[in-house]
Amino acid sequence: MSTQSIARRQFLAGAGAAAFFSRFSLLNALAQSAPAAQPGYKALVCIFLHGGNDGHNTIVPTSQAAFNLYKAARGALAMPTNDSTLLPIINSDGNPYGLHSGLAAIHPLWAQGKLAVLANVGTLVQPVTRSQYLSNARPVPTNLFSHSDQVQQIQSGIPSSSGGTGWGGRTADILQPLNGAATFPTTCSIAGPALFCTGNAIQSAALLPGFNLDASGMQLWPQAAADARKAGLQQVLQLNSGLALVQAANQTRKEAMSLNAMLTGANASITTPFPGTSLGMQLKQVASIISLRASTGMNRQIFFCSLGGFDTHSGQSWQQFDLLREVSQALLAFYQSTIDLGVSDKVTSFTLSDFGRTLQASGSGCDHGWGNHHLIMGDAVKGGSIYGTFPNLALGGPDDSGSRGALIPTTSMDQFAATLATWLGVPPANLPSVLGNIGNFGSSNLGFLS
Amino acid sequence: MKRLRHLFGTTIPRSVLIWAALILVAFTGSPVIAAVAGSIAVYPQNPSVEMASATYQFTSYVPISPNTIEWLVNGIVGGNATVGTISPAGVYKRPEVIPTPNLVTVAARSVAYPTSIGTSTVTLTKNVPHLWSIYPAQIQAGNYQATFSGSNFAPGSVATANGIDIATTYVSPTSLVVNGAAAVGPLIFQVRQPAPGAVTGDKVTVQVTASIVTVAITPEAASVKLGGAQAFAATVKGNSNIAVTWAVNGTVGGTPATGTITPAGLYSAPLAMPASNSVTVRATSAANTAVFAQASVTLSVPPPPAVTVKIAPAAANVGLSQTQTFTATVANNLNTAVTWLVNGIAGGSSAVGTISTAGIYSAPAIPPSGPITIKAVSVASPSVSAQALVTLTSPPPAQAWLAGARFLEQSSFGPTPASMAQIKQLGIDAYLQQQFTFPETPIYSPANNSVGELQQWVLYNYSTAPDQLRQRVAYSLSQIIVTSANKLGYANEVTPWLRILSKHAFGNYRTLLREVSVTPSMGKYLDLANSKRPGLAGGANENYARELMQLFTIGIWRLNQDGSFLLDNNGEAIPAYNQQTVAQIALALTGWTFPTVPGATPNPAGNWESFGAPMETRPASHDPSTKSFLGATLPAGQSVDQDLDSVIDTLFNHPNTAPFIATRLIRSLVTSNPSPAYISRVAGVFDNNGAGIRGDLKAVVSAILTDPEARQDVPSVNGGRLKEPILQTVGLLRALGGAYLSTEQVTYMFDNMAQIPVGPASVFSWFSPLYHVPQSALFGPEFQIYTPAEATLRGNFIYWLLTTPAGSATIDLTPFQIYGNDMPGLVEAVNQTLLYGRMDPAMKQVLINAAAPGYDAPPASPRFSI
Repeated sequence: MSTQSIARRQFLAGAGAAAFFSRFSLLNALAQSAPAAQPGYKALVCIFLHGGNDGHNTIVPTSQAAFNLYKAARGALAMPTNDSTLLPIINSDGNPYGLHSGLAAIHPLWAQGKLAVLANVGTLVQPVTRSQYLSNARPVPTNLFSHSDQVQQIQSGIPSSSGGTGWGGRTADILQPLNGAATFPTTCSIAGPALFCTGNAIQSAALLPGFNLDASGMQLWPQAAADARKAGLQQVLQLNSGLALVQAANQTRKEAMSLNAMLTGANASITTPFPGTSLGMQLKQVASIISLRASTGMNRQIFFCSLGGFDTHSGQSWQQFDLLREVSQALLAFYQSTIDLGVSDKVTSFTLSDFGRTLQASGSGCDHGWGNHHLIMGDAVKGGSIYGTFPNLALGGPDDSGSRGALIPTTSMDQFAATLATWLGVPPANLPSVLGNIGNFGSSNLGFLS
Repeated sequence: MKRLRHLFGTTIPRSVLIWAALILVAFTGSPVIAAVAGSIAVYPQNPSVEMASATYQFTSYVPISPNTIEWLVNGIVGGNATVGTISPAGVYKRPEVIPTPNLVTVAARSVAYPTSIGTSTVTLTKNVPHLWSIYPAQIQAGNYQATFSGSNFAPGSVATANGIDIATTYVSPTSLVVNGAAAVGPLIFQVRQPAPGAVTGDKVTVQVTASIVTVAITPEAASVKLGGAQAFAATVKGNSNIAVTWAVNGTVGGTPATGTITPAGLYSAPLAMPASNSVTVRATSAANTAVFAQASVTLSVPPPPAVTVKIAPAAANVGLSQTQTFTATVANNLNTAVTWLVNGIAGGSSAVGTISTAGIYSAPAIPPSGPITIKAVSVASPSVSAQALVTLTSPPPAQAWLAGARFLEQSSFGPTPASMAQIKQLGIDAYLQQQFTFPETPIYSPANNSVGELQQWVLYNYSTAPDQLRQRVAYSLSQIIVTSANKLGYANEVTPWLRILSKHAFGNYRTLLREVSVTPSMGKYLDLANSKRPGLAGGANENYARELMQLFTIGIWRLNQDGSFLLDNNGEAIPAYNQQTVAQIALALTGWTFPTVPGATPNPAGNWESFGAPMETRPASHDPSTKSFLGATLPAGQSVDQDLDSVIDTLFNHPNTAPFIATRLIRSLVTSNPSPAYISRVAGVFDNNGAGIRGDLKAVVSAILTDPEARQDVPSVNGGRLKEPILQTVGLLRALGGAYLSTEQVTYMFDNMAQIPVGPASVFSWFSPLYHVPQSALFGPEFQIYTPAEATLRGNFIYWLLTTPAGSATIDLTPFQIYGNDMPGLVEAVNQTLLYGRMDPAMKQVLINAAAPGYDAPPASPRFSI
């Protein structure tokens, strides 16, 4: 690499403009080193909690001193006691914490070492302190506290609301060679098109839960008519127009028919019971696709699911309970299905959300914050631990961006993503093309995965 | 007498025997004493001896003394087996086989005087055939056959009639059959045994009488209906002339009143009943006119003839909505009226066609699913009817004008039947010029400020706006200069942006850039609003500065005029700008805020969001320093407006902008993979519209659409572009004479297909113009949202649009339904409508086969869902 190229890369990375870099990586796709052959199957499953889950009530420090701070900051939103309605866990440092009672289903996984928490993670351009933030001494993500911007930044991994690709998609861009000739989409959103899944080379494949790519009409027509039309479609797709784009579109539809056949069988083959909730059905669809890994030939996959309703400006206590219960029941079923499929150490699930919420309540809810706590689940997870730095919960304290407890992240989204991408197989040299700002942070591997 | 002779078994007359006995008595009673006093005589003299006679006694008269004699046959004493033997007593025993000749000589010779000898010649014959009787006892003149009864018949027996041999057939020793011809008079029959030993039996005389002629007729009785016919046959016997004369009631040949008869005997009954219903047919022998035979004919009145209905024509091809006159002819009844039915419905129906009382059939506009039968039912006899088959014929599909259709695909949201007709009439150039003059369709402002309602209107507007070219260019511009409803949560936050794109679609790109930069839509979306100089809260926001360059004007890399990368001395691409450029432009763009709501007090630090007017300046928030970027230096102290204009001017005039914008517009309008020359030509027009003006979008759009590469109707291998969901589905509805309704409820489907209207996921819009076709070097931006799942969803959505569009879209399938069961016609109509005649023949056949198993339930029943 020429000096000039290095300079260019430094510029691009330093500018926090990963979008630039991703274009660059596309243009130089051939020049990029493919990851070394890595055997076996691995998948990441992102569960996006739309609206901004209140992480401060998802995991609560329950040592007396910390709980007092917590209670003081949260006021009416604080969980009533430090021992009755929180599910007790012990961090690997020995300190007691409590999980929200909605998480009862996955609570046992903590003790089993299958569940971890990454504390106070969020979008950052580079590390920033309270004083730096307050004095505008460091660049910070644009439009903090804005849903649309922060959803985009979390998913794109670019803290500027710019960029047409997601870090999941860019991870897949790097790992695509591991899938060889397999044609199944490397990234699949089960929750509609998601920026997270879009790469430079990777299409964002959106599947709907339970949608096996069945062609409409096939079940409505008389069998003979349906068969004739299906055969007709297949024959039309076999015709060679000699036109490259027509052939490419036909190829996509051919793959759809092939996927249709695979998915139809796969969904029926999932015997693990899943809750009939939105997230439950999404994760069942993910399990179905994972079960196809032998027939699809896929070695690396990234999935995106989501659940909305976490924007709890009011009525948080019961809403968050219902939502976290849905999350935990779906996660437990999914974890069980990965055991049943023999891939519990090859599938890592994690939550993302728009942002955290303010510690300080506003009425029966709280407002848009910044840093947040997230869950990571799977046999590859070095569970039973809280990773990152658990923040100081004092209003106006060292981690507060202001006075209401919108906490400045102590771990960047880039580091969270880089750890996951590295586990999935992205070589360290390629991390900057996935996460343009990763070089701004001390470590690209937070160590929660083995 | 005959029988008596037969019993004696001899032919010797009794008188001779008696006489011979007297002589024997006389001469044996007294000795002979004279020596040679006379000749020896043998008795009987010269007899005939038949085979039935085993022995025959001869005697001799010997008038010589001594009178001792010896008997000889044919000179042989005692004879032998050949000629017969004779005993010394004169008993002759005939030979077993009659010799030839059949005469032997029996001699008596004196022993003393051997010269004295007497002889008798014996005729040896076969047994005499006796004829006892003849059947028939009487024979008619002419040829006859008769059977003889008698005895001693033998094979070879020959009958004679009047001494002439006649044909004889041996049956048995007692029966012969003979054939002959006889004339009137006595006829004497005899039977002769042939030689050797021929012998003829006794005679039987038969009187031959004259012959009798007879005539027979069949049938001897017949029943014939008036007007009917009956064949008769006559058989003449007893004469060689078998001719007859036919007569009816005594009149040869008959009469019309009683019926006529031909010389061959075919009787034709009269049409009206004669006085008597019985007539006589007579056949009279020509040979003997006294001889005839008769048959009795009973005439009867036939039943009245059945009513019949005939229809003409019996089959007809009728064009849709055309008429065809049918004629019904009723026979055998005075009431010739008929009732007309179509497929069993009196008078027909709108579905199967109607028919008037005069038999004028009016075909329906759309063929029904089954065959059409016209039926005329006799009023007089309702069980009697006639049918005619109607085949509905559809007009051949109009040939699409490919060149015009392709132009409309690039310059509108797809051809409609009306726009196809219009461009064919005007020609491409005149059509294009007309589009430039069309009044701009106003952007709709939903009363409830709902983005959802705006999205509904957008799809409706794309489907129906008359200023299609402006809509299409604005749609393309919306993918270059992007905002999104996913951040602009209310309709009034989006519409200022839409209005600017629409307003300047044929305007100048600099004006467009300037206006869009200060629209509060963009101000909010890319954070220019309330971006402030360093030292104030937040600092200069770089978002807009970055995207203004990267996406709206110059792009990341230095470009040649043909869109290719400008390379440095090392052969590497050259960045068009760097972070310093972004920061400098961000400083230059500080000082803008949302407009002050009418009646409100402007906030000196910056207003809260409002969208009713362009953004306002806040000089206090503007960075006053000198800025330097891309070779431009903005002097310190320029106003907010001045700095903005400098930024816009610099970027607008940057050499990248022409090829950058040309490439994006070409990709969006015409082809994903334009040639460098094409880009260069269009970029040249961007640089100079021919009148020295830069950035004239009308000229650029003209150049893009009229370029030979765009107008090349023969597809090139890498030509064309994949239609995205909005373009494909709006285009489909338009091609089918329909549109999205402004009340459509299918926006969510566009979300599933990754192209929610005015709501792209990011500033990179729904898909990147730099996206490549998977596993290909070709650009294919729209493929980014054409994954297997999305492709299937799109197909399913199109199926839904074609089958159950009610409430969200309109379509007119009539032009396809008119083909009914005519699958080739239907497929050709699809070909002309959707592919403008370019469908591969193999694909046509596939579709014909796929549609063959039958209809879907009409009328919401497309047979094409792929």
